[in-house]
Amino acid sequence: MKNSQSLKQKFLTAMDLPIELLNDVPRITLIGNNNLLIENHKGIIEYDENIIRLVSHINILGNQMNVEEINNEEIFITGEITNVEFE
Amino acid sequence: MPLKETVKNIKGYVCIKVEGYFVERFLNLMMNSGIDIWDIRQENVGVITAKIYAREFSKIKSISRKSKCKVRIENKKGVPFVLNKYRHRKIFAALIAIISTVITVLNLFVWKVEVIGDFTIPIEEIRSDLEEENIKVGVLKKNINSETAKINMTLKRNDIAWIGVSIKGNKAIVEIIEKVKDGKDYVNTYPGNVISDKEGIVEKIYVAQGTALVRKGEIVEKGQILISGEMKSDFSETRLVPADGEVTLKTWYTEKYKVPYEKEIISKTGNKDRDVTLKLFNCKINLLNNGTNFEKYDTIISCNRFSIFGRIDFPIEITTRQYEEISIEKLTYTKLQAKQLAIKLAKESAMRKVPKDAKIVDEKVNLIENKDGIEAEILIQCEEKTGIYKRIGG
Repeated sequence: MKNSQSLKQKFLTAMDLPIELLNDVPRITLIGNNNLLIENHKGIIEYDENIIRLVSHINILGNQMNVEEINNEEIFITGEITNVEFE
Repeated sequence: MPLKETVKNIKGYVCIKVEGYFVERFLNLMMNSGIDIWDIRQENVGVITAKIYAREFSKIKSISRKSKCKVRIENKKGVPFVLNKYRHRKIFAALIAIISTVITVLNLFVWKVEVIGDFTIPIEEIRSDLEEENIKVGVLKKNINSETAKINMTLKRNDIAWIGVSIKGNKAIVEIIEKVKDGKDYVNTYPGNVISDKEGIVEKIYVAQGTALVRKGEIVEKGQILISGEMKSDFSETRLVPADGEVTLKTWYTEKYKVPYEKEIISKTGNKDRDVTLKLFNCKINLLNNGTNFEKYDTIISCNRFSIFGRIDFPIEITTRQYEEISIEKLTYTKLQAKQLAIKLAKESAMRKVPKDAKIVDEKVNLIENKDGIEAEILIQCEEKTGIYKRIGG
């Protein structure tokens, strides 16, 4: 598994393609401290005003966070974001 | 985003409240079954509000059962719900339909004809003329052809210089500009000269005001001053007046015409042959190549290029070469006939040069005979009035 992944990575770097084409990696776009877009999130473990935990090992901490939109590929979070951490 | 909001409004959406211990599971299930969900907000621990499309609400039941969450509808928003509200008010809907159709139907007609412009023509005359051109109250807008109405009105009435017809809303606006009357009763008040617009010999000169600069028998050119506006006097200073008067000129018009005794007349017999050539890029293909057997013929070559909408050209060309047989006949005139014809034709073309208001005084015909034909030279002597007013320094 690890071998094939590195092969994929090698192929992407060789072809000058963006690295997010690797399947299992989430892509995080943070605009200021109040707009957060995560692609490839895989699902929610915990939802609260102050913490959102995602299946792809990301914890988002903040105040008064809302999920503006959610679907299979991406999740769009607004509110005051203080931490984005990886487990 | 307003566009997104409008789409959601048109589709219709519901605000739901989800209660339960496994709200996250509920969201994941929604996500996996492909139901759009947005504006998720936490109210309390284990209570969230969200919005989903009204059409997808029926899919929620199984999800709520699986995740053991209670789902309640808080609010319904969007066009479908508003329409649903008015479902039983049939008269209301019917009235709206009736009013909108009445408005659109009434909009098709002209309800007012407005005539604008500064003119002295009686307005009833203009209105009756406009009615003949189908511009009147209660006519369908599309039946009014403003272009032909404009042309017909200006042809019909001599006192209209310009007319504009436009339709704005339910109004037909007719704009009229009246012709300024001829300058005959218009008195010149500025000092000026009378100049000639023709060449000739002065026959008569009558001065009403000003100083005559030419005498009888003098040759004048185009643009020469005939009567000057400067009045010289021994007793007072020179003063400027608007010159006025009438000058009669003798003028001549000559024309020559030669008629040969023998003349060739070319006429078509009506027999035709043709060749067709197709040209693809640079290669030519002869589709019909018979040539022609005619002894004497005209050749007409026409080229057709294929194109789409007259813009994009194809490299295909069809060339048609048409041969038309011609016959040549010889026509001979006797001396008398040639003479008469030459005089007649020379006079006709000379008369074309003579202005309409000129008075013909004399005609002279000069004939020159040659070996191969006869030439007639005609001289027409006329008397013409001239004199154009021109302002000094203007």
